[in-house]
Amino acid sequence: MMPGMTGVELLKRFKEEYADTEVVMLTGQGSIESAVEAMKLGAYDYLQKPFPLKELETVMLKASERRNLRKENTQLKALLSRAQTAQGMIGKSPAMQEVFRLIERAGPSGRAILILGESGTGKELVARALHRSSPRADKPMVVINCAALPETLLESELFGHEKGAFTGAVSSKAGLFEVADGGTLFIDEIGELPGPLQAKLLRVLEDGSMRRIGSVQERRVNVRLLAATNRNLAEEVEAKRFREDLFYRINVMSLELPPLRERKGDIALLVEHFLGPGWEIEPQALECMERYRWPGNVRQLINAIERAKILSDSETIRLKDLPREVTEVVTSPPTSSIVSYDDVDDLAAIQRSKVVEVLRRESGNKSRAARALGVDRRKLYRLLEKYAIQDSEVDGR
Amino acid sequence: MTNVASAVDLLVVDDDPEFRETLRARFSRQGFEVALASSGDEALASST
Repeated sequence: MMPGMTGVELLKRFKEEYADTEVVMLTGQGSIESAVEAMKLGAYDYLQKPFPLKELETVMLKASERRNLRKENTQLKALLSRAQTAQGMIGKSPAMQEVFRLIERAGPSGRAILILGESGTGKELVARALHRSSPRADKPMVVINCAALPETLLESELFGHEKGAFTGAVSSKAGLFEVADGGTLFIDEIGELPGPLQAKLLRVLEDGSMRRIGSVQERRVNVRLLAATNRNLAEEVEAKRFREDLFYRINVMSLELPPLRERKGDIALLVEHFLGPGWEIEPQALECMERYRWPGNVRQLINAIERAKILSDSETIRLKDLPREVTEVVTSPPTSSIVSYDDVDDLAAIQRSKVVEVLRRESGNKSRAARALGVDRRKLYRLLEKYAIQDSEVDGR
Repeated sequence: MTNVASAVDLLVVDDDPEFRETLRARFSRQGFEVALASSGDEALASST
């Protein structure tokens, strides 16, 4: 026992003043209550005297590991706040700094800008940043993805239609060009825009006039066009799949987003950001993420983190929580026997059926199911929500 | 300003001098920078 102040009191004072310091309590009286209280107050662990020194050593090593981890995470957070820009994009790599600089300079100009980059690099984020830094910021920015819609729908979405213009056109509808009037229209995957629509788009860009489908009335719109593509548009022009005149119109200026593998220095920042507060990551896991090539870029990284957070059994992401393709060592050349399949989907399916199976076995009792799965109830509920598991699935044998 | 809490790796607080020394010897060998305090007040005082 310590004179003057109890161990629990000291723990409290320490945690108040040095939150990062890990405290291990050594209790003499074997009182369970004080041990429980100590843990509640944030003690790393407690040992009851007498104890083998070896045991204390193990606890101490673990505690100091955690402290280092915490320190590293704090440092990352500080870095993050400096690297995060007003545009909501993260990156301190030279490539991203150049992107930020271009956004600042090209945003206010009001000219058309072509945003290039592999899928998942954040082309829409750039478009939003360009819009926000323009004088049109208080007007709408409207987004359309050419790859997501069939040609007929795309045309009526972009230019609108009059009542009765085609089967199903029961009322007149303004197109996105009209909706975005005074603001910005962001056309994603513009490389997928069919030929006839390319001509119609060119016309709006040239003189600001357009007609709804089925209408003879010319309408004038004032829209700034931002377009994005992951195709090589110059090649598309060469192959006569994309109009050359339209290409020059939308490509007044272009801005290229680097793939994630060319900005590996930003991975730690991105991971920190998408993990969110309260989460930490093991150094080995982070190293793996920094080594991986990320063909799906930041979007893939975000998905991997979301998945890891669900699989993780604590608030720390470990190697085992990452998708296999990320943790696989790539130094050995792949053998022909490797079967390629969607690892993430596969694992998700396995996890989902496991949860359903255990719930059925436990007759739907969530506490028991959680225990059987080795997770807490909160986590089980997260899993139920994620996989949209219905009670009827569990009941219906 | 020197902050003991961040300069040392381990602060042992116990009123038993023998126990403190045992831990100091043991953890110094492990490469820890060890400081000792005999009471809670002393621990807090040495950490500011």
